[in-house]
Amino acid sequence: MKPNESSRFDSQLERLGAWSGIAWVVVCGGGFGVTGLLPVQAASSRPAELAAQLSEIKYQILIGMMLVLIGGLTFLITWSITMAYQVRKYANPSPLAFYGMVAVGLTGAIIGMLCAVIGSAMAFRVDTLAPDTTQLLYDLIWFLFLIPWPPFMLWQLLAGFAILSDQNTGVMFPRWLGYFSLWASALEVFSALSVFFYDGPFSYNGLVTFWVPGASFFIWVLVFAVVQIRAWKTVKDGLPQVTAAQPALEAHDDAGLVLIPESAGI
Amino acid sequence: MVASQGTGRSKDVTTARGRIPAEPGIWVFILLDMSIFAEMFGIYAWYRAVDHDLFRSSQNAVNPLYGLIYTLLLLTSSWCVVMAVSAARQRLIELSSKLVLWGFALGAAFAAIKIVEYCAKFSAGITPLTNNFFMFYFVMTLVHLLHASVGLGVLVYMRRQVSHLAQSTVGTDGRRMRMIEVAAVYWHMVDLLWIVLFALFYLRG
Amino acid sequence: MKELVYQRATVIFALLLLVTGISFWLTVGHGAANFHEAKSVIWTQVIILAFVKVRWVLLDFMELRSAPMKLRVLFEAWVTGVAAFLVLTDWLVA
Repeated sequence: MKPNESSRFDSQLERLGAWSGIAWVVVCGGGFGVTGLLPVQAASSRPAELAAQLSEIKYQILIGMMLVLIGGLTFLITWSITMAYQVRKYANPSPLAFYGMVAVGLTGAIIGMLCAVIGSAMAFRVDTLAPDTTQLLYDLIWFLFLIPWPPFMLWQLLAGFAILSDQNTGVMFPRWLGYFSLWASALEVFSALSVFFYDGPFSYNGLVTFWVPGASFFIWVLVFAVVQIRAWKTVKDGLPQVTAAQPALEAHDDAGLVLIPESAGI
Repeated sequence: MVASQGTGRSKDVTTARGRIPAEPGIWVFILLDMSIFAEMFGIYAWYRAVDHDLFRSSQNAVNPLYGLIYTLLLLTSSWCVVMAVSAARQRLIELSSKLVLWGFALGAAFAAIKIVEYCAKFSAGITPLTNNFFMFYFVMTLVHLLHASVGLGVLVYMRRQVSHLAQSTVGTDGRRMRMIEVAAVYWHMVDLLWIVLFALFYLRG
Repeated sequence: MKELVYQRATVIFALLLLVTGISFWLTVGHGAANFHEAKSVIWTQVIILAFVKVRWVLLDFMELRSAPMKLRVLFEAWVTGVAAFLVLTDWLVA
């Protein structure tokens, strides 16, 4: 395998791209925190009460949503492109997987953007709109956050399977990250439950339906980015020649672990 | 070198003490997935404690016999898979392959009967929106059913790996055996989660 | 095939079936009648039996018994912690 031949600029972008995953978690997650909208109110809240509460934190919401937009949108794009690039480079060269990850990454960024734009509009007009309508906009924020889960699931599946594929040398992405991605993808399905329940653990503010897929996606990005950052030292000067031929799974084989050889006549 | 571990079979040389079964990565998945279920179990138990009478009386509409059948199916299926792994370790390819097939068949029976049970509930007018007990009942068993369905796919993959064992070279041998074990571990997780669900929903306490 | 069957996992399988039968009888055959009095007691028994079974699957089907201690301890903790939470919730809540 040839050593890394990309230009210095490309290399810098790759390194920064990995860091942008951390930036996304901090700015987007932090942005939601700043809005004061967490913990999310129940879908069964009374519209008038909800509108009143939102009215009180109007400017908090607007500023928080701005953070979600500026940092969130940008960094998710840069990170998703970088991770797709790195998965292709260090795990599995499949072009389909690469394009798939780029496409769903962009879709994810747009979904996030819609959350923030609608949230901003909701806060912008909270004092004059009918409470019912405000509540609908509130619902929209969380529905956008949750129910378009398929692209996110696909994203994690593609990354997971690419990392678990035989071609992965494990130089940057260890196999456990592949299993971790598969786990994260399984959790996305919970989001679908949110449209059926107005309260309880499976509604859009529920302990299961909001926090499991919601938090796990942020955690997935964070863990992935940390792995990328830590592995950068190993790959920044080009792919190590020696390990290039050895698939990651064998690296886990215990020394001396011998499966019964044919000659044992068993 | 590795030593036998007290399975009663000196031939089962791969189960040396201190060896991580299958591969480390799958245990990351297993622990995390079990934690999500643990969260749901906990929330269920809480709601149940708060509204015990509702939960207990709703259980009357759940036939424990279904639960017993599911448990027997999955336990037997898991046992078949354990036997299949043992057989694969000894390169008894045909036997191993047949055992995986049995495991699959029992798992598929589980899924089929589950769908029958769901349909019976729906015809009786019971849905996830009927009350909190049924909300948990349907959601949790459905999530488990989805895991089991994925598990059926995993067993198909496992069977294919077993049949390829016959042709593998020394290099790919260890890897294939590892993935066979990974598949088995996932299926056992499906079984183990069911054991808890059986206790929560089908047994009356 | 016969030789294959004579291993620990088969004994465990038999035990799993046995405990399944016991817990079924406990709650459906026998315990169901007096559920008002004994509610938490039966729940406790059922949960403990279920997690005994879970532990067997973990240790003997998934081969954690011969795994490195650290890994095994994680799952033993899961078993104990979840079982304890489920039992305690019934006794202490509401």
